[in-house]
Amino acid sequence: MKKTKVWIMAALALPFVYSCDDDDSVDTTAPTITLEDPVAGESFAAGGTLDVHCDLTDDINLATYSITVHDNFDSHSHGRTLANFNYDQSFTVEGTSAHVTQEISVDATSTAGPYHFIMQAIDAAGNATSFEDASSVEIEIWLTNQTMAHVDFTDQGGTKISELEGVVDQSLSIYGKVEDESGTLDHVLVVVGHLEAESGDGHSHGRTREEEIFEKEFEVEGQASVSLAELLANESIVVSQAELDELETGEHLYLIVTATDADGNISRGTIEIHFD
Amino acid sequence: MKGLFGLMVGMLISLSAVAQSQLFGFVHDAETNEPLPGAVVSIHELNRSQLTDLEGKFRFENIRPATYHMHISSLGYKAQTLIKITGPDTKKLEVRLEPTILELSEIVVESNHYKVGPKEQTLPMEILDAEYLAKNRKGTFVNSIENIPGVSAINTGVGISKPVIRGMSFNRVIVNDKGIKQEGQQWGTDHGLEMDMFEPGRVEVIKGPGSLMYGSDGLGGIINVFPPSVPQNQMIEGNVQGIYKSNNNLIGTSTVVQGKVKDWVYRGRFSTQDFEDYEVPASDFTYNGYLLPIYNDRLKNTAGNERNFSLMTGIKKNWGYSTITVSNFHQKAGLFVGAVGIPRSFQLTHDGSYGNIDIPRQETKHLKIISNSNILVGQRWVEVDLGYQRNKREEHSDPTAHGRQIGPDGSLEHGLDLQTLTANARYFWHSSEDHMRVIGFQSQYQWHNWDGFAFLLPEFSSANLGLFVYEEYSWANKFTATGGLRFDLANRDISAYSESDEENFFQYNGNIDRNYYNFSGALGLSYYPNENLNAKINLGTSYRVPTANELSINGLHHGTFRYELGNSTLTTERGLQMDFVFNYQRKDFSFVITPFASYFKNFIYLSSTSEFSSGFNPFVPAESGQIYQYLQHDAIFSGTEIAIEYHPLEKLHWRAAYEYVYNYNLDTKLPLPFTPPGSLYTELEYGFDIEKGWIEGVHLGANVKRVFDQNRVDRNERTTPGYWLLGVNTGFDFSIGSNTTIQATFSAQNLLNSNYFNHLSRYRLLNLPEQGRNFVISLRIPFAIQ
Repeated sequence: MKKTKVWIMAALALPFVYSCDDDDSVDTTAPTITLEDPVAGESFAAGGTLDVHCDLTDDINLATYSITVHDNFDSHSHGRTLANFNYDQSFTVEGTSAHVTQEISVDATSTAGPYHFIMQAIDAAGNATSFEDASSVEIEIWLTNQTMAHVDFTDQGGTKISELEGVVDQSLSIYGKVEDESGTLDHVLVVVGHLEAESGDGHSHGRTREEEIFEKEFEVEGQASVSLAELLANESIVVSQAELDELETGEHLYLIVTATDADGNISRGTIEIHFD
Repeated sequence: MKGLFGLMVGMLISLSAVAQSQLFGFVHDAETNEPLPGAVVSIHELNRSQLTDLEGKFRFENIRPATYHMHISSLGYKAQTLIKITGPDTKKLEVRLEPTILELSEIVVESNHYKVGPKEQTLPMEILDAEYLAKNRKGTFVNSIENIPGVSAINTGVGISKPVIRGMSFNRVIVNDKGIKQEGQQWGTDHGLEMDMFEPGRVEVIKGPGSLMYGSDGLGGIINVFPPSVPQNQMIEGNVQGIYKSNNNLIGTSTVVQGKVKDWVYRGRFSTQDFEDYEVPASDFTYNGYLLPIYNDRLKNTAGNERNFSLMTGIKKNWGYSTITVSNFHQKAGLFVGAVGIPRSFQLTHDGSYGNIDIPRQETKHLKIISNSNILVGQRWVEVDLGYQRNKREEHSDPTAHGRQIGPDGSLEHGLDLQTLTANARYFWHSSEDHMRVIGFQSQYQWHNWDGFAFLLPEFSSANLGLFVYEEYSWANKFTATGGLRFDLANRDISAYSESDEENFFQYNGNIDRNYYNFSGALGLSYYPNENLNAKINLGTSYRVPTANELSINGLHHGTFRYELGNSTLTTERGLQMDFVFNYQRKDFSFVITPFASYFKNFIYLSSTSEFSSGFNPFVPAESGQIYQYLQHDAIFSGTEIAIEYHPLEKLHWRAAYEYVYNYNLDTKLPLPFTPPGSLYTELEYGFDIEKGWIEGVHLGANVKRVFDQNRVDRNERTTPGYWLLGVNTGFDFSIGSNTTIQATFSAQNLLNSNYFNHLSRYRLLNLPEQGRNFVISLRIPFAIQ
């Protein structure tokens, strides 16, 4: 029996013998990224440059950062003579803090539309920023080109406006046009809702389309110019007080008109809707 | 293979004109000395069993002189194993069974492959029978054993899971189905174990180093899966099982028909599962700084289905038995839309159906042809297991999302096709009833092909050959010593692969042709001074030859969200493992503690580099992220399981189990990834009989699982907070007719609809909570045709 007792004691003690504490000096902290340029929603012209300005820091030593730009077109885009712009490069960097700049040339033949701009960083120990905790940075930017369509908002008389006046519980009066000067249109999406990337941190709340107050896509294939008033002639877009109350502080309602042309270019016009 | 089988059968038939004897005796209660009618007496080697008659007697006629393992079990008694060497003057056997009210002691506890009894086995072992598996059925085979202390599961949604033993998984756990090591693509996090959850009749979980008897990879432990025992009666019998789960509208069915015609036995099973998108207790999740929607709280595209069958036929004679089983597992399972690449709000809108399986999805087929024979050669037994298996795994996703054009492969991203041939043999040599020697041979050859629009793993072939001897010696009725030696040879032959277009050329890997060899051994001692106490110590070495993926993987692996890079210079991983068991048992109480400590040399793990894949592979899709490369360094593992079972009343069952694993990478000075958090599981169950009416037995139970925080994580791995889960269950048996008893059980899992993260879940990386409240109904209806 004595022998057994010794075994039991040894057996019980063993897991604890190994349970030495982890070394506190192990570097497990990922770098931080503070992106100055570009900012969410910013537009860049195809054929021009996209300037990146960013501060990187790490507690021990930085190693690498990467910049990725790729399209954020959903499955709607089709048929094109242009190419979606793609950029994916990584660069080495040293020290505990660095201000990095890159000048990215945007191909002249790039399709216009929304793109994701992504920055990630890794330190010398292999600690990486991640999407899980949003320490990697991702924002939406827009590329523009010469051949994309343009959206103009006007009043009934054809004068450009900078804000749309709305009345609660009454149908909105929308005027303006979507025009493609160098080709034809394919479809136009009209949304009344909040604008992506509106909140201060550059991140949207990613609401689903079902939650938009109004959303409708219009096929306008082959046309060079369409009037918003004609497009929405059979629609009644009404904003209720309850819907206004749902907005968070500082959030506004927007009319968002997104036009896709026959070449696959996506362009967007937005205007804030003002309610008294 | 057929030739070999035929040769053996022929060899036996030619030997059949030898002396006959019989095995007979009686079984009685050790306390009252009363005879025990209805006890099951079976001869392991012959796959034959009998029930004792009213006087507790049994008699097997037409028995050849040889060594036999006999199992005697009866409800309410501790099962017993006897080793009997028969000859012309074999005496009557007297078996005395000790009463017990502990359910697990009623099951025959002997390791099937090596016929090592519960006291003699020096590694901790758990045996689960069909009843346990049916009661704990959760949707996959692995999930039905995850409440065993020391066992956990790595899940991807609800239909895909892989086993973890003592914090080790992937290629560090061996699953043997009918003696053949299951070879799928075990290395992948989102690659589940391809096994029909209705099929196993008995499962053994051996914790600790199994390398001596089971070869490379048995570091964490071994899961041995056995079919139900072959039919004993000359009739056609079977059962239909059905299961329904409310959370994802899962409907599962399994029908089995089996019978015996003279010496021939047969069995056929067909199982199905169909399930919809599962529901989580959340309407959104946070990822990448976005609050992303979960439409109607159901995870889009997590539906799936399964169609599995197995067919067995065989012969039982007095020279042994031989069976052949053909089975196929076929699963089609959708992956949550956000699980491939970064989830986007527009992808997550409802597609109008909860039952459709769109992309991304995986489709897995696993075909197995397994032959098992136990043959008397002279007066000794040879067991031969032969197998062919083919694992076809297809992962589908949208190629345009990866910046590629839709090509001839369509949506097929990875098509992995692995074929494996296995031949194992064991020769049992008893010099006396106290000494057993097993001489064994294990061999395996496999080859792999692939297709699909993205490269991950090249073509390869791999071969393993092992020879071992295992000894077991018992003395003084209180000691058993075990020990063994093994030698292994292995080869990995991997083909070079490169990709090029007009602008770029990229060499993924060169030709790799490497040989590995290894010596391993083990020593163990078991001490059982009386009926109540059993203490064991086992010291063993284990090893694992690097797998083809560790040597040559080169690509984005969605299972981990990482770009994984192989390392052709890896050498064999070796472990020195120490295991203890202390077991105290009374009629109504048992306490088992199983601590362990191991040291691994050249432990292979994925290490984060400071490099992005965009600067490395020109063909990689955007957002492929950081490169993780396989490296090897020393590591330690330690921990314990504790299990207590107590019956304050005969009908009241209480069980509690605790598990904890500690590991440490001596190079990074950090824990290893995918380490299960410590947990405590407890269940209380009350069963009673109703004598009147058509309802026979009723049971009511509740269980609580407490999983602790996991704050010990590897670099770039997130910590996971702990949680509580509550479950309840009830069930009853009711009879229709004289011989048919239908079993019905109702249970609720995650009754409180807790929102929690599973540290080992693939979807943990997406901050997605686990499945919500689930009501489960299951039925088992037996039938028989005389």
